[in-house]
Amino acid sequence: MSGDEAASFEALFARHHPPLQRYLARLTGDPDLAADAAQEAFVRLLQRRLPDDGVRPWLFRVATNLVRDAARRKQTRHRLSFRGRAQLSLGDPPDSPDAVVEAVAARGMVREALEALSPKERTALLMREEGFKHREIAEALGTTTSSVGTLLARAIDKAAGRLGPPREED
Amino acid sequence: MGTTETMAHLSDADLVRHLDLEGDAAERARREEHVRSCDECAARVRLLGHQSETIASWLERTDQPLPAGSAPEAWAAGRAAPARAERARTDAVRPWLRAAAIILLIAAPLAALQPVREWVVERIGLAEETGAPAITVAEASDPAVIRFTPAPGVFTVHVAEPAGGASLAIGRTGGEEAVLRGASGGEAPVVSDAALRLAGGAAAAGRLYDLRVPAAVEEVRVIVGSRLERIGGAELEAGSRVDLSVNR
Repeated sequence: MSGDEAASFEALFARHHPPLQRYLARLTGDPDLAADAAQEAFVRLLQRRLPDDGVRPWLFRVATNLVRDAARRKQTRHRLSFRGRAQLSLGDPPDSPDAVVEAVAARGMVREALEALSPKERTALLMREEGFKHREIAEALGTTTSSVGTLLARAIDKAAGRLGPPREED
Repeated sequence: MGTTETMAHLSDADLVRHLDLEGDAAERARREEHVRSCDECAARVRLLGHQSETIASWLERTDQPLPAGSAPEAWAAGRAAPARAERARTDAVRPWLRAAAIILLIAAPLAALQPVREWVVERIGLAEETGAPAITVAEASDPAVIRFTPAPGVFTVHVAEPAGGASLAIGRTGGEEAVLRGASGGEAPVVSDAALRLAGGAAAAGRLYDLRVPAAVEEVRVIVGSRLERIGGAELEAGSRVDLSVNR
């Protein structure tokens, strides 16, 4: 392995890892699972030769499949761990108990809204949030580009209907 | 804005495509023209845009802080797996292994094939199968083929996609070791318990492999390009064979 290869990989990692992990955390509600899947996707990336413009959709597609497989195998445990985490992983501790309560409630609302979507709708919506084109979303979902618009329209309607306008932050 | 009385409205899917600037120039122009002249569609586009912003705002506001990933760790792990596979490939060829795989494929009861094939064609819309035993390198004209023969505890896998994009995952109970055995006779552990990569990674196209899975197979997932297909354990009768020929 050359130093150039390692540097190139590090650059790819720096560019794509944070958004990939964010997407996976949103998709699963489980930061640990997101971290593991993102890392595994990059491990697999090393075993492939991809053109630069193919790396990002490939990473998201592989990582999506990884968390989907993991969730199916460990459905019960995943669900339980997510519920625990919603209360525990709040990041920087807010200043007041009220803020804690509000953060937990907000995160729970978003989670519920996302869980109300079908897996395909959820994946499509969250990949769209990351700026993917419909064609790339379709490839990740194994569906047609034209059906992505339908999935997205449905997902937007459902999720926005459950969430309503966000409250102003203090 | 014009009247909408006699106008066929755009579907929500089209309106989302409009919002996302999808499609070629002509398609975008056609939608733009319609939305400009259709009050109802224009209102719907505004609503979809507002809803999209609402969702984005909620997501950003509730994102959890995440740990920084480790590029060096991924690098080290990614380099370790192909090295193991390479060792397996460079070991001496074991003719008996290839012969055993061929016998297994030929001996698979043909009667068991049809229901599985029908299921495959019906459920996942695959191209018409060749009907020939999958024991040799795929023809160049049909590069995206994955063939595997499930049997109790053993999978013989033939990967025939030379340019990557194919992978196969075996669902199995946790804690048990699955081993990929190449035609060369070497062995390589399965890359992870979530998936086994067969193209461009631990396995090479155009070779025969035995994947020995000590537990009963729960499900087989085949990924070709962006397509993910699943075959449940119930469909995998002992000794049956499934040929997947995927149109590209």
